[in-house]
Amino acid sequence: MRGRIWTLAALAAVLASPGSAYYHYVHFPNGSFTPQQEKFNPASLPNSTVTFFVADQGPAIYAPGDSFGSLLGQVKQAIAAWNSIGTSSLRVAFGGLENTAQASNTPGGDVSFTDLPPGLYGLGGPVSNGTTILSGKVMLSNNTNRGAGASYLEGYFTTAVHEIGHALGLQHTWTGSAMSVDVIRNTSRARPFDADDVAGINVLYGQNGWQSNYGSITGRVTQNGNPVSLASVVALSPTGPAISALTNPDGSYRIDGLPANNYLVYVHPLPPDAIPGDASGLRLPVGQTGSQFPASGPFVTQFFPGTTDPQQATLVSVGRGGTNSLNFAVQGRTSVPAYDLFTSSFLDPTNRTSLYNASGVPNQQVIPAIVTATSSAVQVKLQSANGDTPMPQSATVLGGFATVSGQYLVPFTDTNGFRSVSLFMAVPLFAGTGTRHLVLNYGNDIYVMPNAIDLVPKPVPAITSVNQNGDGTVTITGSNLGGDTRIFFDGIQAVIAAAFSGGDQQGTIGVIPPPGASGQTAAVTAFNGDGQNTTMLPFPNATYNYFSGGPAQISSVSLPSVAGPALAMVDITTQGTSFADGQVTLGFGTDDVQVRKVWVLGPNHIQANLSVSPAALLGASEISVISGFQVMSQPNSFQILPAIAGRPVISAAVNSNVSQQTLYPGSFVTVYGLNLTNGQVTLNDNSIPVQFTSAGQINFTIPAGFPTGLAVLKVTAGGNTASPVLLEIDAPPPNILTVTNASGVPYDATHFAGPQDVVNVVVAGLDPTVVNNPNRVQISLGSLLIAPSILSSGNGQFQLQFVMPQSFGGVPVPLSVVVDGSASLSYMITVK
Amino acid sequence: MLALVLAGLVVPARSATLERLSLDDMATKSTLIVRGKVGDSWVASTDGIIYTHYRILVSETLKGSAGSSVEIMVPGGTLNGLRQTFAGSPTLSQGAEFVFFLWTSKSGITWITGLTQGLFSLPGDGSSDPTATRPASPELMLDPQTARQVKDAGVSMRLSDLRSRIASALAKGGAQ
Repeated sequence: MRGRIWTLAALAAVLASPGSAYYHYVHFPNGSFTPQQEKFNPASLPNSTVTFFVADQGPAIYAPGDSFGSLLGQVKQAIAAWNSIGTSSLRVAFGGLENTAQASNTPGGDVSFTDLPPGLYGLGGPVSNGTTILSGKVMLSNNTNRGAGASYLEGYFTTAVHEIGHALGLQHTWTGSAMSVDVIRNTSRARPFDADDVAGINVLYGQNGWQSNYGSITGRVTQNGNPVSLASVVALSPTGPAISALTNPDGSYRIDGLPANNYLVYVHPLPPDAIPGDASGLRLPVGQTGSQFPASGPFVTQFFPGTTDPQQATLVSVGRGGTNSLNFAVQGRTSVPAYDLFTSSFLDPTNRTSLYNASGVPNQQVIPAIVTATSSAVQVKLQSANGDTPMPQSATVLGGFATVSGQYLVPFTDTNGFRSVSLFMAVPLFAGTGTRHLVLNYGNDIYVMPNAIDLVPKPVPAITSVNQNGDGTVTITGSNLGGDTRIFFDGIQAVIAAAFSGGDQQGTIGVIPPPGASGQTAAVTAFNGDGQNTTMLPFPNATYNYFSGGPAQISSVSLPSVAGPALAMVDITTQGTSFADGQVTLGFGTDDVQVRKVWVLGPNHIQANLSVSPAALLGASEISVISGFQVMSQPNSFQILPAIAGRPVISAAVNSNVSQQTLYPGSFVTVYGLNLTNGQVTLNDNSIPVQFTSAGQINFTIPAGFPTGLAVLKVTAGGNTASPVLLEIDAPPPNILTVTNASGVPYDATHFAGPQDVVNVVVAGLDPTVVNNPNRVQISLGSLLIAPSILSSGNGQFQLQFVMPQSFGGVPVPLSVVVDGSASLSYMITVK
Repeated sequence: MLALVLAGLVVPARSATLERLSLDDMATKSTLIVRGKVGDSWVASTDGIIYTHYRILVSETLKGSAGSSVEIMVPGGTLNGLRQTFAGSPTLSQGAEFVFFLWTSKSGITWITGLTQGLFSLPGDGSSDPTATRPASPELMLDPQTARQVKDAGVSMRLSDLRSRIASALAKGGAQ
């Protein structure tokens, strides 16, 4: 690769509500220890969405081969990662470019580039008003050519994920998750965050009832009967997630968001560098008077119920919606035996697997340790970030590994002159894959390292060739690729055009390169679902040269100004672009304008709906269009104008049936807005009968037979016309014809379904294009949503097949087919 | 967003991404290295970012040219009820003594090199040769040569040794 880059006053026995996980920014404003966390208020955000903008000038200096488009691709992916937490009510979006001096009245996030000093690439965090976050600020170096600063490396992505997590209201944890302090972090493109991060976001922004799908553990940590403050309590599934919470000043804790599983639960003190004297570490919880609550002193780490031996610890079963109560009584000590340790392993550059003994043989060190699950043994290096590594008596990887001790624990003087320790350990058969946790035994204390190693199923991937095809696609050939492989061109993920075929020795993937400019060279990298990628080992550079594509620019914008508030359509044409659906970012340079959706009509043509918030700041902002590496902008080219008195305003047009998320011929539409009394409606300039109007609402029905596709909605009232809005008219939901078992016997009053049955649902009227994107289709069964396989059965009919996932106790359950969020009429089946 | 931000009390968060610098790197890349005590401080906004300005009362200059005091800027602080803090940005107590590795940007902002990497605390014990200490940073750190994530290591040495190391580095690499 190219060279790139917080006194606990004496507390009487206080009965207080246990606090939520507190890797957040915590306040105790009411005198009790019921925490309030700093967070965005989704209700104050358009569409509950916080939008991050990037300063339009970009870095001043780029690393060779680096580009603004690549950098923006990384930021966009990091934002998309947080937005992928479906149980959160907060949506997170990338808004394109902004002028650094841009002012707005809507909360949001900003990424800017600054002439930072040597040794500093970037810094950031949220800006809050009491417990409400108003914005997230991230400052990055304006020079990506300073060593490791290049934007397309995985470290840039994981850093962006971490920084945005702070901006959303998460503090550091000690579980190896995205929000963990760097020393122990174990995340990647494939695993951008962990269950701990998801729990942290859900505690802040979880949708109503989110807890019902997860379990909780609560309790109290005490020392000699006194509360222990800021102790970290961690629920650790031996082969699964690690989720933590910090104790409140009264010693109470609450871990929410635990996936149903069996957990070992332990409590440990924060490392001594977690809260340094210069206030640059964990931000301490704030009390009623603004004073901070300090952490209690060190104590002996212990598993529940009071043991340092994980083999003697109780495996706690946590069920969905359940709460377990576990209390800890800890023993104080003057210092901890170990902290800030990290693991690494050594990869064989030839066979691309982990080595058992790296001494004297070519190797590449990787942090944290990667262990090839098919190997029989592995050398894992244990190292301290603070000098000599404390020598443990034994080490145990949870989940079936034998304890390592004696001659298999080898201390040595490392290249930095400090002691490190090699662990030579056997890898058990059927060890499985995924992250594993390491417990170090120091005699009278232990140190637990969640997510300390990655067990991977196969060697590190390699790309051997990158070949351009006549149809503009590119074939990537290499070893140890798979169906879970994602291909990146610099920092931008390519769209898969042909699924992986072949085997581990050699396989191919077809991709569509992100749009670029002629003469541009992009590094091509492959990232597998196990976290391994082609940059882990030296290998001949895989690159792609762009031979076509000129400078891209915006040609026309149909809506240079809009009077707020409004929902309005905009039509934009460009030159030199090759837009692809779902790959284009359109922005208006201010948090006061939100782009609701972009439709690609052609390689140089997009349309979109934008929304101007009621409290929008009047003035100019920047229009930007980003497609692959192509970044186009027009500074100060969009104007927010004062509201026009009496003019009708459309704020939303939705299916009146709240259970249906699409609009289709025959559906009943509700238009919400202002000044809509006696409004008249047209769709594509065809007058549509209105069934109800009021100042804030119009109802009409989309005529049967109305063509699917985009339609322009216009509303006229009081002699004024609202800004036109685009409506996407979709095909109606399908009709369920039959629901049968695998033998074709229909389920009815005498034929019941049962768990593990193969169920066939035959439908008519299904949008045939779903075959190309089966994720659009789901089977709704009671409260469950199931992804079916889709088979064409001729005559315009489709057979949807799924396996009955559970028993319903012999009661009738409604089954429907959901396409793009809109459901067919229900078909009742009885499930034993 | 700025208009809204300026309307309320602000509470900060932390997170930074650092480039690993050796002591030699620190010496050669810093534009000014001084021993001094933290004097008064004030807060101001520059380019939409709130900085805390500290006046450093210089007792010894180890690199560059400094008068009796130097003004440095650290991201974050409280201004007109607005408080903003950034990752790894230290809060300096008045009277505390450090060896400061400093760097001035083209726009004239004097930063601590590498954020907390360029801040070696000196104990107020009256020792003629005190121990200068910089703890390991818990923030994300990358190796500038390999682009790989690396771990910071704390530094502790006698002030005399620190002087020697700085002088040696400057002799080898030349003052920049």
